[in-house]
Amino acid sequence: MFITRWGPLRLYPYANALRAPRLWRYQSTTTAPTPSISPALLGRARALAAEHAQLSKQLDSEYDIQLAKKAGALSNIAQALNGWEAANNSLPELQQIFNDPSTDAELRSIAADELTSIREKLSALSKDLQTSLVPQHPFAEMPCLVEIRPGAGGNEAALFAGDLLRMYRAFCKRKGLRANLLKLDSSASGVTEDQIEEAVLEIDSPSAYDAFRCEAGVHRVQRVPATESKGRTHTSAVSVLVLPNFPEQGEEELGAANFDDPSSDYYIDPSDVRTDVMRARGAGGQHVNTTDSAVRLTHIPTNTVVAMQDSRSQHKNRAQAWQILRARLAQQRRDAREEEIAQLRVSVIGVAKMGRGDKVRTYNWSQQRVTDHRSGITVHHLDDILQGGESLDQIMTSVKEWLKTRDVEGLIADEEAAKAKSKNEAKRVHQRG
Amino acid sequence: MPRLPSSLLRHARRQHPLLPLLLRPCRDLSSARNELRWLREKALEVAQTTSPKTKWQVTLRQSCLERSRGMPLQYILGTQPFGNLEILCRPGVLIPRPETEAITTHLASLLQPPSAPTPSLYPKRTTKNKPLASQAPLRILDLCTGTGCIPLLLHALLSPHTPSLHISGIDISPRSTTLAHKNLTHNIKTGSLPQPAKKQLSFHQADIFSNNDSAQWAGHSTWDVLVSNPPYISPCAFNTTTSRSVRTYEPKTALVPHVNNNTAPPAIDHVDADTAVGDAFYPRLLCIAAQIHAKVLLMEVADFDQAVRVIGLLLATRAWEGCEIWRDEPGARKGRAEEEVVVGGGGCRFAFPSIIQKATPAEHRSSTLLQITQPRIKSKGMEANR
Ligand SMILES: C[S@@+](CC[C@H](N)C(=O)[O-])C[C@H]1O[C@@H](n2cnc3c(N)ncnc32)[C@H](O)[C@@H]1O
Repeated sequence: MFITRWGPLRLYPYANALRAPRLWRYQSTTTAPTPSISPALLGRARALAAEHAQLSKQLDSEYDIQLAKKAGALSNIAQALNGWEAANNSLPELQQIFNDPSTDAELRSIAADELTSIREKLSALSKDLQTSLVPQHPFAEMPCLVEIRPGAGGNEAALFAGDLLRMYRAFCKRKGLRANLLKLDSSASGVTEDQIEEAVLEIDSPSAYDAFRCEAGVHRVQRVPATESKGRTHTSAVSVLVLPNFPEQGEEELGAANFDDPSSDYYIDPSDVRTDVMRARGAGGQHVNTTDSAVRLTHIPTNTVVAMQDSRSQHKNRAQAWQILRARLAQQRRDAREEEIAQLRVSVIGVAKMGRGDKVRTYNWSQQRVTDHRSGITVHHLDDILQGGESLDQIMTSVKEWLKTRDVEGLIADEEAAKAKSKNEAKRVHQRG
Repeated sequence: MPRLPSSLLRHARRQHPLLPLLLRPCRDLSSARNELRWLREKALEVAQTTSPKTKWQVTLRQSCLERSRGMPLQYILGTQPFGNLEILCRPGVLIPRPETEAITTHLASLLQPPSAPTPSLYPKRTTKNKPLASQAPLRILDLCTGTGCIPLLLHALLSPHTPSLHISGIDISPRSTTLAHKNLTHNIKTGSLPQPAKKQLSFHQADIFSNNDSAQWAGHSTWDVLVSNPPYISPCAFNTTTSRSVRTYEPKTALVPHVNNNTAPPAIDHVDADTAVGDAFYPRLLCIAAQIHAKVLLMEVADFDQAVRVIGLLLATRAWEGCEIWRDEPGARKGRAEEEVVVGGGGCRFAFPSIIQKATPAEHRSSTLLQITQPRIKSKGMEANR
């Protein structure tokens, strides 16, 4: 049978695919550049995969929970590298078959098809490999708080903030995420959710932070306000913050959330926080029966202020104010760290970080569309988006892809910066010697 | 009371037609908005549970009208949060105050064994003060218990770490003890108190002045801790200092000591008769504390001057080893310098806050007086109008 003529191809893992009937065609793709991965990243992946192999061997002889955890964290990288290398290694062989003048036409055509398909696969595989190298966001597995606050634009902004709050609540409902309105300052009567001054939505499901991370930033609305008599379109903005939420219980499980340990990143020294409770001037105690339960916390070093007055219970207001304060400080510390890293990167490859003040998305009423300025996606189902429907998923997914790409770029920049640094050092040593 | 500016009223009206009504008792917009929200939630809840159905808008309007006449919100809503508890409030029984909530919570944190985590009050802090109790049985007596709020909250905070706990509340008013019982059942039902609370807590009706012979309270003659938030307002201060809502709607017997032959305060130099009436419960409380061999005594007082007068009484007993005066929100102002108070013409100096560290009553029969004061002038509070 004709398969025997292709003996050498059996070595290659995609040999089975060759048995499928193929169309006869020559393609120029054979000369297209192979999708490549930065040598710096590849080097790093190989080192980590080697470490994984070493750990697995150790685990075979003696099980150790710490080692197992470490190996588990690296197994993604090892797997991705395996897949990438298998595909990548088959390329030269196919190329050789293709280039060999003695190869008969049918075989050449099959080799050409294979080359195309493997190159396609390779680009996906190298993406996998690259993303496997991006360290997980430290808050990724945590539940989160989503803070919504109107920016410029007065009533319109407050109304739009209400729209966004409804959108996220509907989204959570559809996705089965536990959402709970922690704080609502509404500018109108205090009894409606239409116009809001500030809202904090607690999303109490694991990994909610990762799911909502792509929503942080300034959301812009363009529409004709109901009160506008001349039919002019107004532009207003609402800022959305996504913060890690540290639940009161089970803190031990969340490594990052170690508040009581002064050496932890998330430790808050209680003496840095001033607590103010609402007190009318004059006599207190039995003399008055106040209903003020407001609590205001001020983190003095950063001047971060959280005021809570939603509940009649001061106890509850205090607890929730602490919850929000912790989330804000943790995010601030994380932002500062990311800023540092971003500064380094800008100097190497000029990847600028999106700041929290950057406009991320525009909701346009007259065109019934939403455009995300990071991924560049435009979706026309405005209503579905505002109802937290699948069109919102579509946008969020595109932003997550964008985030991934950006993370990989950052990673490459880091590797290159490290390489440049070691080269410089070598040079200096050389010059001195 | 100064009249509300009409611009504020108009502004409120634009936001919600019922808001101006609430501005009268609340005085500022943000509290009025909060109260409107809470009243609305209650009206909706009532509309769902009652039959035949009343329209919630009708209920809401009704309660806003009551509130505008000065009826305390807690009597309209029927409850007041107190720590993690929900205390039922009824006319005839004093509404629990936030200052009492604060000192009760602070007392509980001092009574806890060292290893116990702080009750879920943020922030978690390492208690530097030596705990006054351990796994040993702990008996607490609350005189003038009102709604029972102090015993109930102490139980909620202490019971997770103190298996053997017994807390009793005493009040002269049958309405009060009935309500305290209701509160016990209510908070067990809502899950805020554990089942054993039913056996470990008790409330009894008695006049603390007319129990001289037996010296037994709730059937026991010794107690580790005595707590009391007694009536402490003088007749004069009642007319001038208390708010109209308090004067009109809350029971006077809970606020102003009722003086008769039994309770008539001893004449003390420099203290006028009116003031002496306001202080009338303290000598009696000191006397009971001695009878029951209390190791810790916590009494709420109105202000700094009253605190100093009570320390004068305390010195005369020569029974107590140390004393602290607590401000509003004890524990919330760590790191503040201790201040010295001079009592009785300079004969004795008290430093506060921290003498309690010396007291380890489990070992020797020492005594500590803890008191709360609300020095209005000195407390740093939020501005009432934001
Ligand atoms: C200021 S209220 C305190 C209530 C409660 N402990 C609180 O903090 O909310 C004082 C209470 O003392 C009670 N009382 C007044 N005279 C009393 C007496 N001679 N013996 C016992 N209780 C008395 C009143 O009925 C009232 O409930």
